[in-house]
Amino acid sequence: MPNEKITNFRPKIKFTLGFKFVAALMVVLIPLMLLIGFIIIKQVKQVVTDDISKKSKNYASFLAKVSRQGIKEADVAILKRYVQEISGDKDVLYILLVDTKNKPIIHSEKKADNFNSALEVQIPIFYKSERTGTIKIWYSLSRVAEELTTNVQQVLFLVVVLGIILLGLVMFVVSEQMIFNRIGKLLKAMRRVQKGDLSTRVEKLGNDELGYLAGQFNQMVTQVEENQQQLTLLFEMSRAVTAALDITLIMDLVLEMSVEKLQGTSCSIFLVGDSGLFKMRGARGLSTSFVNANGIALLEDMAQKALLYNEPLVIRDFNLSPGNLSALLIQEQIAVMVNIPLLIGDRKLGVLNINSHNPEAFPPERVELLMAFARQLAVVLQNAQLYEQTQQFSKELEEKINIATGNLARANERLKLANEKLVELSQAKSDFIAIVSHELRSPLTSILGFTDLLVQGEPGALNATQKDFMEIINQNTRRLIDLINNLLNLSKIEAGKVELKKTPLDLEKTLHGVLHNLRLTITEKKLNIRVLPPAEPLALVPADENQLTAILLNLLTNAIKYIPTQGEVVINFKDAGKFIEVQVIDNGDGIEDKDLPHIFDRFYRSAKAKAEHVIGTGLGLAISKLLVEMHGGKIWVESPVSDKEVFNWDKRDRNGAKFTFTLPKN
Amino acid sequence: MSKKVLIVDDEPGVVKMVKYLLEKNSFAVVSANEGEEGVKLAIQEKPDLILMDIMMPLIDGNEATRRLKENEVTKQIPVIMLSALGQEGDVAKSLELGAMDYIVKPFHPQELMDRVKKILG
Repeated sequence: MPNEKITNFRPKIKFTLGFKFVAALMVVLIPLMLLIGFIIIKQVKQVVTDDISKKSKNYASFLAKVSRQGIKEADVAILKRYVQEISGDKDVLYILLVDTKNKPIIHSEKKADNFNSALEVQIPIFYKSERTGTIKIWYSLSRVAEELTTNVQQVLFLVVVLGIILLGLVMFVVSEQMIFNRIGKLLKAMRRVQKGDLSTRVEKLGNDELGYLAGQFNQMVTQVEENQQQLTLLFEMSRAVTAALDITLIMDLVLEMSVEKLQGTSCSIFLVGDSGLFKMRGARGLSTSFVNANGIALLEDMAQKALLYNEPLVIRDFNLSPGNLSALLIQEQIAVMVNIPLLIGDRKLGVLNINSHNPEAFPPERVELLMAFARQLAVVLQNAQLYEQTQQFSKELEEKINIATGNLARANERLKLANEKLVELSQAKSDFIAIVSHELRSPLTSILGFTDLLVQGEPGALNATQKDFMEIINQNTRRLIDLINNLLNLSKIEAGKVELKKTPLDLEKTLHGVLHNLRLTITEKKLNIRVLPPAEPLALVPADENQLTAILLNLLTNAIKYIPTQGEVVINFKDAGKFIEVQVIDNGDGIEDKDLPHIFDRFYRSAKAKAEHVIGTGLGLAISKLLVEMHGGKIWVESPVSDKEVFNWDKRDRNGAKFTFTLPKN
Repeated sequence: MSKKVLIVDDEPGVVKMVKYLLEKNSFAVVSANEGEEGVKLAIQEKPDLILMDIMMPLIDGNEATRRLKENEVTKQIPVIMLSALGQEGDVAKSLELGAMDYIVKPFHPQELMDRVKKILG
């Protein structure tokens, strides 16, 4: 930008104008003085030379006078004496007396080898109008030069130098006073302005060009200062409004500033609403009577015009307006009315209206400032409107979220309560079962002990009926104990109180342990228990020995219960990739279809089992299922057994049942 | 001289049943129905074996066993726990306190006698 360049162009002053002026003066003065000196010297030289030549002519004339006789009478001795005498003058270099034939008659001693710089004077000698010879005198001019250099030249040089200095000084002082001092003041003022002191003015500098320049300078600075003030004002106002985000606050600020800083006596803001409604949104300084006389509608009318034409509407002469209008405005003492549309591109946001009592208010440059401000204000207002919308939106959103969150929280709370209740109930159930089981065990201890003793006939033999009854009591006591133990186990497993202690187990070995425990029953029922040898040696399976024992015991007990005397139970191990499969197959009556889906349900006992009075708690299979699943395996049942021939069973034989469970190898 | 067994249990039925069993097998029997009395009786009678219930009023069987094992007079007397508490943790706890064996209630009389005879020879 060219302006910037000019502002930044601040040359350093190397040689002041005064210096340059004196230098220029010297350039003219020095040769002038030298010329004058030269002329003077020339003149003096001439005078001296003339003087010398006059002297030497006198010598020559004298010699010539005395020689006339001498030559005639050839009195050389006399002549010689005179010549001798004259040559005593140290300036006389050589004297020569010649006859007409230029033959030397008398001569003095030569005082120099050549006479180039000597003055030569020749005087003819006449005797009775007849030329008899010539006197030649060479006179030294060195004395002249000597005299000039030693005295005249020194003085002259002094005079010239002094003259130069004096003249220079005088010229300098005069010029300093006349020009440079004043230029310096101008310069100083300019520097202060450059540094930002816009209040700087140059004092009056006379009526010449410099005075005019100073006047122009002052005017210019005044202009700059005014512009600066305008810009500062614009900046302040813009900054004030841009800092606010709330429309009401922005309008308050604008209205206050319009009155305070822009010298408006009253002002108002009109905004175009969302529905396109053009409405006054705020005002300052309007009288009640004006408002009551429907002044607002009037202002609105004018503002709308400004908005319609998309340009500032400044009205000064109200006489041109319709009578009613001007009367109302004159009554309100409004002399000038300015309406500035607030625009962003084509979008019309509203109008800023400022009125003043002062007819001189709002000159064009002030209106320009207002327009600049209006552009800023429009942007700020738009931002505020957007912000307001965003706020509104976010508030609505927040409300919705709050409602949703509230609902969620309530639902959550209900769930939490329900969950707590469930946990409590579950805990209460576990506690109940544990306590009840323990409390039941103590009395059962003496029941079991005493009935055992009675059945064994320890205190004395019972008769057959007594013994039969006692055996029933004893058997049911055991059943009760089994039930309690199973209940306790189940509640422990369900409460997560059972932790598996997995070790690599040899399944066959565990199975044999279980069979050993069951040996009495097996022998009693004359059962055939077959453990099929696996095709390949079985891998060790990570499992909890106690729990695996419980699983096998449950399945075998279950099988034994449902097979008739001399029935058969086959135990088969199969390697199924990632799992080891354990099958417990019996050739009993099998399980009815309607019972199959419920076989692992707790307390589920088939109608047949109940009818046949098979002793059981209905918990063994449920516990087994839980334990298998805890190990990461699965358990299922199949009845009738499909592959009877594998076990050498007659196909027409009983249906049988096959329980299979799996245990993962890892 | 017959060996003396101390029974500590708050369940009179159990005490009576065990006492019958032991006397039948020629053991002398003394009994207490709670822990503190049991400890007192053990110091006083110096039995050859103590059968100790766990869940009792005042001090329980475990606490009584701990006291017995701390006492110079009684610490050598073997203790068999007889308890309805059958969890592994329960058993381990009692054995840690110094009990020699642990029988879960209810038990068959024969089982009890087997264990008693094993200790008293």
